[in-house]
Amino acid sequence: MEKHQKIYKLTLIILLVAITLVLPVITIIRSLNMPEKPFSETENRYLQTFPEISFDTITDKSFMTDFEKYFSDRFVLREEWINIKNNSDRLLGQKEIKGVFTEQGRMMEAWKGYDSNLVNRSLAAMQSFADKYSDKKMYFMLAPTSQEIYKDTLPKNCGAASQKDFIKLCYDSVPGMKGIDIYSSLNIAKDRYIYYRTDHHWTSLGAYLAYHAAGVDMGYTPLSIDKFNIEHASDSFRGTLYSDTLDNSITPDTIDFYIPSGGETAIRMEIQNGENTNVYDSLYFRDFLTKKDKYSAFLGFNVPKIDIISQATKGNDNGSLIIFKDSYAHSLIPFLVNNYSKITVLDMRYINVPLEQLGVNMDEYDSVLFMYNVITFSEDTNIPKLNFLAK
Amino acid sequence: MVFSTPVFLYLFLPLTLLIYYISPKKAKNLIILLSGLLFYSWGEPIYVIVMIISTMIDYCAGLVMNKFEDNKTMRRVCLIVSVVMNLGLLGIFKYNGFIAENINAIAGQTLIDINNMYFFGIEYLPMNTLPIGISFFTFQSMSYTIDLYLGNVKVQKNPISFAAFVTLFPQIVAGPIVRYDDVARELDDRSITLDLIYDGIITFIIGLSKKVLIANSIGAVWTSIKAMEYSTMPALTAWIGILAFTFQIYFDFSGYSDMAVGLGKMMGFHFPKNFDYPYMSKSISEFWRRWHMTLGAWFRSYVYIPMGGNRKGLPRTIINLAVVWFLTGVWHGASWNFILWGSLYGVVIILEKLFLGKLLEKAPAVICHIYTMLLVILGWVLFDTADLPGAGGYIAAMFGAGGSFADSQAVYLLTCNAVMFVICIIGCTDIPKRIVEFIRKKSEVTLGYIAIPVCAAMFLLCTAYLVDSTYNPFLYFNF
Repeated sequence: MEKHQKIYKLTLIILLVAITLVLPVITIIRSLNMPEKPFSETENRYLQTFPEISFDTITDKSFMTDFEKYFSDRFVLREEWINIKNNSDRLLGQKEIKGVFTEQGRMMEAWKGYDSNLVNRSLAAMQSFADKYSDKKMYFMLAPTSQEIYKDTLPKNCGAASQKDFIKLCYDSVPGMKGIDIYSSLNIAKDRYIYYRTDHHWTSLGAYLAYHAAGVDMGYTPLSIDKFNIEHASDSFRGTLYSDTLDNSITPDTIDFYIPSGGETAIRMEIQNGENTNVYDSLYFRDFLTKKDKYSAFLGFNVPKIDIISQATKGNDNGSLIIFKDSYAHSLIPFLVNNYSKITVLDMRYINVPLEQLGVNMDEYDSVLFMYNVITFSEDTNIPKLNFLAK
Repeated sequence: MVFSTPVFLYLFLPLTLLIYYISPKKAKNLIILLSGLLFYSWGEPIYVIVMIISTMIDYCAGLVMNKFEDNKTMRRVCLIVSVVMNLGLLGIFKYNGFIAENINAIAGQTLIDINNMYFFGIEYLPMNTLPIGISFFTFQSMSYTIDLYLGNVKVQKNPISFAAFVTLFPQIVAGPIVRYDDVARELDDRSITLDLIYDGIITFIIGLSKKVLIANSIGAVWTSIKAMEYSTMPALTAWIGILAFTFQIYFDFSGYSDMAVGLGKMMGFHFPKNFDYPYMSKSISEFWRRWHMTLGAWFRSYVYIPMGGNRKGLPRTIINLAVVWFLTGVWHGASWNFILWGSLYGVVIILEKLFLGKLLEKAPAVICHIYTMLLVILGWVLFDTADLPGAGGYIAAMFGAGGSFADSQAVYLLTCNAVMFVICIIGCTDIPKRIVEFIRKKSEVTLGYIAIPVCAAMFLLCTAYLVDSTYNPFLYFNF
């Protein structure tokens, strides 16, 4: 009895000493061998670097805060710990892990409502923009996200808000723009591969359906789907929703490029990333396919401005188009280049100077398209900037 | 620094304990002092000075008091200096904003602009800073001078030992309120045994799990409900919210106390117990004997009893109780919510003393439990809503003012958190303890062997939760 007591007490003590020594020691050794500014592919950000020690950083506590981040960022087996926590939450009955529903083999970003003040300000800014350029054709395209299309798979009473109603409300509030209904086309095709399972974006097929549906409203003849060769660019895509949940049980996604049967549409793309301007002859950045952030293979990162000049199909040139957008548009633009010989893509999240200063002359464009997904649109605080950008 | 961070668990604690164990007995108090200063400055790099000054004054007050053993006036002066200084610090750092606001409200104009306390660019009154743990360390350190004055303890001549008492890191930020008398003997002579370390580890892991696994999870439910609109809130949602807070504050606070007691044991100290299954109480008086026990003991020893306690007749007893409960409310925070919260407890306790207590003794146990918990839960609304109108609105929602009993969201909240609520309900009773005792009676050795994987697993699970809390995917293409 006495002997046993000593054995189990010592065992527990030694076990905990081992845990609290081994984990930090490995963590420290590993971080010493890391590059100075390590990048986490999963979290898609640079990890915290070792904070500077000075009187100022200590008195304002930034050293302590940053050091705690530094230590946690490098903590050994970080992703495994997070997986354990997520699984434990799931076991305890949580249906949503980090704002993501996982149902029937698919992750969906949860959207439960919006700030109507913010949305109203965005819509008002768009309406006054439409009034100002009433000579141009104005289009407004809001894409539902996968939560809306697959809402019948969501847990009961989970509070998911109706994106269909939201889209209608937005279209009604901006009479100066033609609202393009793509919800119906996507909803009918819900059994096809129109949304990624592990990412919040739509697939190329989803974007194609939107492109096809918009043709009537925007006045172009969409290329029919059999005019494309499908290039399976990657079948190991794990997107943003995977980064949130780290749930390995969901099959990785396939990224498809829809290449016109005659070969990639000849284009000249000028990307202004805020620092410098680069020119490319393809819309696709295949380098990203070997990285974590594979969606950026479509037109690269979000940047302030992209100019695309293309050889639109003969007899099918609908002129020039300016697009205000979020990253959903990156899958759509490869289709639009077949119908617009000149497209300028603007991302207001990165623009803080009037458009003129960015080299955009509104007179050069026939049409304007606002293209967002519902979630980004409802949360974006940059749209009211329109008043200032286009003054 | 707080206990529930990877930096504490995996850097500060193992290193401190390692140095503490290998250093010679004489140096151990110095290690406590240095580690305590580091621990405190991690969270308060500037206001650590406040703690150092307060410690030095109390230490000197003790020395002087000792020197003038027969001079009553001198002893009294020392006591007054110490008490005024400690309460003054509390006044300056904790209550200044509240006092200023009320002065302004009474005057009907801004006599004191709390956002503009600058003199030649220097903020001379730190209006919006509350140094961590100031309510705890001032009370702890005051217990020394008061007890010394009353002749309950002997003077501490060694400045390092005295400073070690104040800066002892396990109890520095959230109690229990360790009185000097509690640890006086152990400060000068303590033994660290295998049994004590073992007990300490287990107590610490229980506390850590209560805080990290239970309090944080159930607390998220309260955070989301608290932020909703009260005027249209269904009754069920309001009840889910406040029950979540009821559990959160118990598991958070008692978990923190358990961690402190456990760490104390690992370092050779026996801290007083702070919680004794308060939610099993059958009256409010009993609840306060089981909830934050060291605070109650402090007020009893240094306010209630010196004022005469219950020995000076009923009217005087009532006044004494009223003062203690007003102060208890004030101690918890500088706002009318807390004052009302404490005062209402005072009223109920006085009523229990007068006649309610006798009625409760005759009533069935179920009624007593319901009565107690109902008051406690309503109390928590006052405790954790932003202001009095907010508290009123929330209580109204609990009783149906929101216009409905339940909506789909309430049902969803309940189903997602049902398991957690069951864990909470069982966890705040003595059922787990009774199960452990049952196994111990059968075979203590079996219990010992079961404890090894269970404790290790809990510790690792807590690690997972702590690492996760800093997990922050930056989705720049998802703005």
